[in-house]
Amino acid sequence: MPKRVRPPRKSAVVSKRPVRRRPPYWAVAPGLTFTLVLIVVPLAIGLFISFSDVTGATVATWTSAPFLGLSNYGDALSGEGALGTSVVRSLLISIAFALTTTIIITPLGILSALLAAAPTRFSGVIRVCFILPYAIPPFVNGVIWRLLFLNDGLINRISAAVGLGGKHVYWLLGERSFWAIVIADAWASWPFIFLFVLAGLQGIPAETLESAYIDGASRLRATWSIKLPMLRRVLALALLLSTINHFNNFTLPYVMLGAPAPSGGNVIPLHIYSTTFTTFQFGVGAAMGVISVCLVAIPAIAYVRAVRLSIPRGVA
Amino acid sequence: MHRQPWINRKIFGPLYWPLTLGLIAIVAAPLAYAILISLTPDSEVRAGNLLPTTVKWHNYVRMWSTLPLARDLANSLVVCLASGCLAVLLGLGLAYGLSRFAFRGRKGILIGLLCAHSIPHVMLLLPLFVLLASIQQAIHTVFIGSRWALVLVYLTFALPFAGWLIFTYLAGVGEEVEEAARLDGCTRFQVLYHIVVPMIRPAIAVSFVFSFLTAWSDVLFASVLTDKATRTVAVGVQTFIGQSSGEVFWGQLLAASLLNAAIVATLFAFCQRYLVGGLTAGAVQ
Repeated sequence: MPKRVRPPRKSAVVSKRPVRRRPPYWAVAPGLTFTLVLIVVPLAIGLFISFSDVTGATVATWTSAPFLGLSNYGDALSGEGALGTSVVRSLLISIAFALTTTIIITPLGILSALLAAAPTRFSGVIRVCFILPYAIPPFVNGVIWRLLFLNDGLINRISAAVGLGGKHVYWLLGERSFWAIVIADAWASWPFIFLFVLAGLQGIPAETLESAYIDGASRLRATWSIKLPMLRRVLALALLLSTINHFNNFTLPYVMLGAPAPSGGNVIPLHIYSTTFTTFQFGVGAAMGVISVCLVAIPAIAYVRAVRLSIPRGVA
Repeated sequence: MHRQPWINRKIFGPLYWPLTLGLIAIVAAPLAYAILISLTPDSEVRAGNLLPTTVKWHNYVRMWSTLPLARDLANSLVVCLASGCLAVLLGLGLAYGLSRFAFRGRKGILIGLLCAHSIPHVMLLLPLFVLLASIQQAIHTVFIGSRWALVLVYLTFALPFAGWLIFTYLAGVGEEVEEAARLDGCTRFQVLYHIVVPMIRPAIAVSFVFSFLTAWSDVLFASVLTDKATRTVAVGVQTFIGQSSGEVFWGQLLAASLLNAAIVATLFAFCQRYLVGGLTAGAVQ
């Protein structure tokens, strides 16, 4: 695309030198105030509570709660909290959950995008079908998969029919619950990768591929050597976002397993939830929250760095 | 979206239809089973009949009286509409300021908006609760448990999303018309209202619908911050599970859940093109 030549002007968006222009406060202030009050202040309160002795009984006077130092963090790590299990175990479960799900849905997402991008008479219908799981609210997905994983549910019936396990397999209890939420979440979220890859495919200029074909590249070769590399950035963003979303996913495990969750499916959001709202150990719950924010910051920072590369010129 | 003639199904050869239909089957099977169970009387579900002997609509009738489902739906509607509108209004102002003016702290705010949605909601829930309780104490009014508390809380995810989305859209739209209007004597507000807003309608629509849908799907905040009269349908539906004797009304649970899915999917379908563009905004350029 030829770049439009524009006369240099002192616009904030184009100019290389930072020009300080005051924004109209009536426009910016309300949004900013709400963001501060609803996100920044709660984060600060969470941090404060994580260092303080706040429980269900003392929450009314939380501002004057005694300072505990790192003792809440110690309790969280040693498992003296609500459920007698360490937060480390939940963190490992969550990391495994986020990564396993992302690893399962990535090839599915790419494959389905390549399938749906091909123009056939039915490509509209195919796209709608592929997006469908994403358009269903997570709590409904949770209900459906809870039903499927009942010990006399469809999954066990099918596995019994092909000679694997059967009625005595409890998917929603114990260690196996991990795989129940992985399968359900993979089903519910692969359209996310599909959407990103599809959008990315449509952004590849046709000229690039035409010239590859003229040079004698096969279709498979063009897919492997041109389409996939050109999708790399879109895919990187999608994978980061997907990992963050899975790590933070509360609704699906909660609806499927409940809180307190069985040991295999006790992901960090559920662990925090039951520590905070079942046993009312607010300080320990807040400490777990802070630990989990620190961990999710790793993919989040990578995401911010990746997105800034693509922000329209001069914007950030 | 323009046609890309070079993408075609030849790379898959004869595998194209088997793969496509296989994926569609994976999507459809759980849904089909859920629909089937929603049409099955609970006695048969409990008896473990895989294929019901009788297909009945009565779950779809009874669910309205087993739970105050209509009231829950109305609560959801009010809360989601209000938080969607507020998010768009506040986000629009924020995005306008961020995209048209270079001021101190702008970059920080942008990064903040982008980061906001990776904060786990469960971490914000207790502090928000504590904060609302403190405000409540200070002004001697009880509003935890009210719909308005929920509307406010939903802004934690809706506002950063709306702000960021409208911002990326605005950043891609030239400023020329706005500057011309300024020269002709428009105030900033007139520029925003008469020129910017009509230009970015898709972005406004997407951020509204997205806020609405995310709020509709929330179970976490609503499970703690509502009471019986103000609970949203996402929480209400859960009470089909073990309401009194611990038994699950699977048929009605599935019926009510599928009703929710239908509402959300319909809304999603109407704005599908814009939504998809909005979700991947910033990733694809």
